[in-house]
Amino acid sequence: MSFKEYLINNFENILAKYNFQNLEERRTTFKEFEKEGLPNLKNEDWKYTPINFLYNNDFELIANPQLDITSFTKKKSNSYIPENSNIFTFCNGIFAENESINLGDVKLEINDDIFNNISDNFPDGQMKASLNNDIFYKINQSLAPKSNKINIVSNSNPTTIILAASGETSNSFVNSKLHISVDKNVETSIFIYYLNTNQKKVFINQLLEFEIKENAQVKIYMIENDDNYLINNISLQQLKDSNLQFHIFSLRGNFIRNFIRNSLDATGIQSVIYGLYLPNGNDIIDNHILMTHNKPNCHSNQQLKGIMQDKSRGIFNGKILVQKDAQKTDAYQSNKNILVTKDASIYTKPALEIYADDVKCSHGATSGFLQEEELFYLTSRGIGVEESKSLLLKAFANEIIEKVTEENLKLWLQKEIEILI
Amino acid sequence: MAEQENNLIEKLTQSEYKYGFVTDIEQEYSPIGLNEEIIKFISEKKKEPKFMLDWRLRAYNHWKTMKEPNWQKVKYPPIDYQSIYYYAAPKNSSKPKNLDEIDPEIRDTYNKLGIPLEEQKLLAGIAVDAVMDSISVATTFKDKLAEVGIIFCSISEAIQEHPDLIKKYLGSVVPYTDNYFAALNAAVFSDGSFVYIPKGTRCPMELSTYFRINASQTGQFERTLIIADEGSYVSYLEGCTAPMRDENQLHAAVVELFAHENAEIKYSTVQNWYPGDKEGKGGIYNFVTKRGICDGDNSKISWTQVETGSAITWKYPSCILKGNNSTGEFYSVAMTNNYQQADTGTKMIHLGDNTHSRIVSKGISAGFSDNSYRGLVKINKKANNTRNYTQCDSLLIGDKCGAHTFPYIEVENNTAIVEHEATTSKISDEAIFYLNQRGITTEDAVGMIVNGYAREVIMQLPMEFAVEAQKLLQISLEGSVG
Amino acid sequence: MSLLKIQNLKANINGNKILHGINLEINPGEVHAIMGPNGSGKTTLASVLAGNKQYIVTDGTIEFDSKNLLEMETEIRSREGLFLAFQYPVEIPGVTNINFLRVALNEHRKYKGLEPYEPAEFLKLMREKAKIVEIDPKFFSRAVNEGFSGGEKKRNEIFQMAMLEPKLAILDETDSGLDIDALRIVADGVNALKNKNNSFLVITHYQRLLNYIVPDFVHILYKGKIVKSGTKELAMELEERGYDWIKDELS
Repeated sequence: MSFKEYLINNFENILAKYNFQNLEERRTTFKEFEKEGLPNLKNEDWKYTPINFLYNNDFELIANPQLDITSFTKKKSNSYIPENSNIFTFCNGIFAENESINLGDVKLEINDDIFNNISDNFPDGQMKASLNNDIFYKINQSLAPKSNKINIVSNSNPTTIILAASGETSNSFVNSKLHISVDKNVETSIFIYYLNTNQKKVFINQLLEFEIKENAQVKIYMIENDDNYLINNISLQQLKDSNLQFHIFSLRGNFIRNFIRNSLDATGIQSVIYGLYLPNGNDIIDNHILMTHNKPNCHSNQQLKGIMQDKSRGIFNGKILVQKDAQKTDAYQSNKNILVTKDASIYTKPALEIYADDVKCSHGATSGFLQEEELFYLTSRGIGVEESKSLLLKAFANEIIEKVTEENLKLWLQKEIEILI
Repeated sequence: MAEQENNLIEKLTQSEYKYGFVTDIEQEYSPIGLNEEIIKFISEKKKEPKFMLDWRLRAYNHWKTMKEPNWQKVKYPPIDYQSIYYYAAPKNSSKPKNLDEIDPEIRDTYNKLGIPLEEQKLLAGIAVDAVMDSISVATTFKDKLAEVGIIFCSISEAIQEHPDLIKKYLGSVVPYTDNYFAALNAAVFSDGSFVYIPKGTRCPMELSTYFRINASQTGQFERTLIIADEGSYVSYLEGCTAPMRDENQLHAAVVELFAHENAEIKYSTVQNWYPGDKEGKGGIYNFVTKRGICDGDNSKISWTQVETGSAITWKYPSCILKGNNSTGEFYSVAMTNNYQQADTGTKMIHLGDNTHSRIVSKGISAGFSDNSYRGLVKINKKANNTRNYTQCDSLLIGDKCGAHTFPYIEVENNTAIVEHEATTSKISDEAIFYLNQRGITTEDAVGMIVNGYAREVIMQLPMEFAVEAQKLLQISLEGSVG
Repeated sequence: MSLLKIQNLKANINGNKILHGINLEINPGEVHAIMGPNGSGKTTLASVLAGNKQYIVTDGTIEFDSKNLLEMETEIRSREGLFLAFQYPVEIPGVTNINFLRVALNEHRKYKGLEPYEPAEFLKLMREKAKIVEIDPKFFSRAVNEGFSGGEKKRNEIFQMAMLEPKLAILDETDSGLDIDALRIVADGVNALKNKNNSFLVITHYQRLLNYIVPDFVHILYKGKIVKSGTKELAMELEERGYDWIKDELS
């Protein structure tokens, strides 16, 4: 049975089993999935991202929390969690209160209204269409159990979000929806992890939304560091004078697909995305970014680097879209890649789509390998070939790690990189 | 500044297309529309051998199974393929043996276009094949070229006289299955140019084809095939114009280049089809498939294009770098104004070891136009030590146009070095002020800056055409401001 | 009859008032220097004279050769004989010096009702003038200011001035960033071009340049007004005592 057939055959049972609400809207949305099916390589957004892991379905949908505390505690302790952090844990899309700590800066609201989305506010048609055409978004909208909302209202403590997936006996398929809003003038950091506490495979279909309000100063550290199959639709909206640094580290994962859609909807916004992806084995890591400038005087910057090892594949597809009103836009994008082995590959498509004339936009992409001269230089100083290679690769990765201002996280990342390269 | 800008943009959008006249000449048409009979009609008119008709019919039948593509960033109303004349030719057009026998009307047309068909009047060292609507009306310097073994003639002539070369090469680089318009072209193409440069020969002059659409309600489907045998060199240029008409006319050409070992082909285009009026009415749909293969080791293909005309331009002159150490180049200036749309770029497919490619693309958008660069650099898994460098710049003039860059980079071999850089900007006020201060009007200043911006590409053209291209940019743009 | 007459000139940029009522008169053959601390309005004055539309003139008049300068477009001012040597000359990629100057010079000639130069004639003129500022003819085919060093850019400005033969040349901090040799070349060029019919307005922060281009009059610009005028001795005094002296005197 294919994944599609599995979902279609079991859809009504699932709705009933987990007592889902908004049934009509879920059914309507699911119909669209039934009609369109899973994306294939002919779909421009999936041109280089084969979802072979879904050809023969061996997943079972789980929509209630079944947290394996032993496994969870272990994985949590292997993650970097800052001191005095709020912790919000969600398991299979449901809030896990016992594993959460609220120090008081954050409001949590849980309801059934999963159809209230930040993307409804996107002023730009292309942004909306890009999300609405995403089948996994539709699946999420049909099958996510709850709408979870976190609202950060004042400065003080960082917030750690743990999105855990679990199961009992089978490979689990999890849909999860989380909305995070940061209030006006608030300065804060948010750490996000995806953990697999199942003994088997998990496939997480995540919908994450961020609303960065006026003059908020936000740092997001998204750390993908577990053996998941992860499809991560990230919708962002930034308001006037807000400042966002979005760090995304794709360290481990069999299949990772991040699609960040950021809508810069007012003037004076700063938005920076730093990304590092390190696939190895047969991993596929795909980063899609759509950065839309809707208003004048905003600055955006995307810097992503990838190191492809073994038989892995990297994909980058980033677009800067500058709408007519967005004069005086400054937008940059850079994607640099190293293929370490002969079986690794990279597919990159940095795109500019520009409708305003008074702008400064540029992008660059490179793909290369370790230069013989550099290697020779190091080996001539007595450093072994493997050691030299690893030194050079770490230096390449470090440029992105250096952007992290949280010192302890930086050290933690460097340690992880030691293991991976 | 803003008001001045508007005035200038106004002025530039009013600049006249100076090749828009119609030649009043008796024309012979095929029946309107497309079916097997039409294809037989064309093939018969051309006195083609049977293998050609069979090939055309296969192409036609394949075309019928295909869908018109819609992925490109251009918009146009659906084309009714049954309301086009697929064959139109000046009557009594049996090609004269002697250039003196050319119909005076035709001769006059080409004189007006600045392409005299008398050899002594031609720019020294350029041989011309003149194609009007569906047929070649004159080819100059044929005999002189034949002395060194070079074949330069219309493709119809080549089909009759060099069927072996045609059988071997036609469709070898762009098979009719390649895409919708390539299939259509294979079915109905009526003329175009053919070039064969023998082993070890350096073509002693520039070869060029001048394409002219004259008849209304026609499409032009020309086909060009250039073969450079081992160790040879040729530089080829095409130019094109059409009358001003309210209707849109389809131009769906196919160009195939084949470079053997150590051969080099330089292909330049100065495209100035009628772009439509300033409301976006009329103009040519320029849907073209151009591709070259560097089949042999150390071969080289270089595309240079200056695109200022057409309502819609949609083409990607490409290189398949199959031979080891082969080189592909693409230099492009695409300028759009008013409601013109251009979606153009290149594909560099690296198959051989040590293959190099270089892409320089300069887009200029003004008025309400949309200008996209779309390119693919693909490094095959087995291609070792390859290099690509891509630079794509866009210049925006006025705030109602769009400039877009869509590069696809696919690297499957870890010894490749691929670099892509792109920028988008407007003409700086400082530069305009600087030139104003030296006594130059804003209009001339913009022309000067735009030509400077495009210079790297224009310098790739043969000298005479570089001058022509510069003038063309200036006219198409006359005095806009950023 | 004065060549330039500025009366009560007030101007602002982006809503900030920079010039607060400038009065200045320059006669043919005179060299005037304007000195002032950073932010006093020196570059604004030069820009307004040349017709940079980023600056808005809110009050006052400027007569140039008995014509209303403020009514003229920038290129007309140039053709009338007003030349600005920029503090930061712009790089214009792909546009060669020779092409740029040929167009500029022929526009000037057309304005005066003269025929354009023949190419050979023009090239000869360029070679001659290039000697004045020791410019290598190799420069001609390079893009305007692109990849030039600071000194080369300034020399190129004076070279253009030599080609266009203005009635009034405004040198906006032409000395900034120049070493002593480059400064001497630039100053020698200016001196070679000086005659009894043309005038110079030398804008500078330092007195150094005025050792080489000797002014007839020196004006001190401070907070958008000319607060003191004198002869070249004023520049010496300023060099010795610094701008604080002026500030103190005014407060």
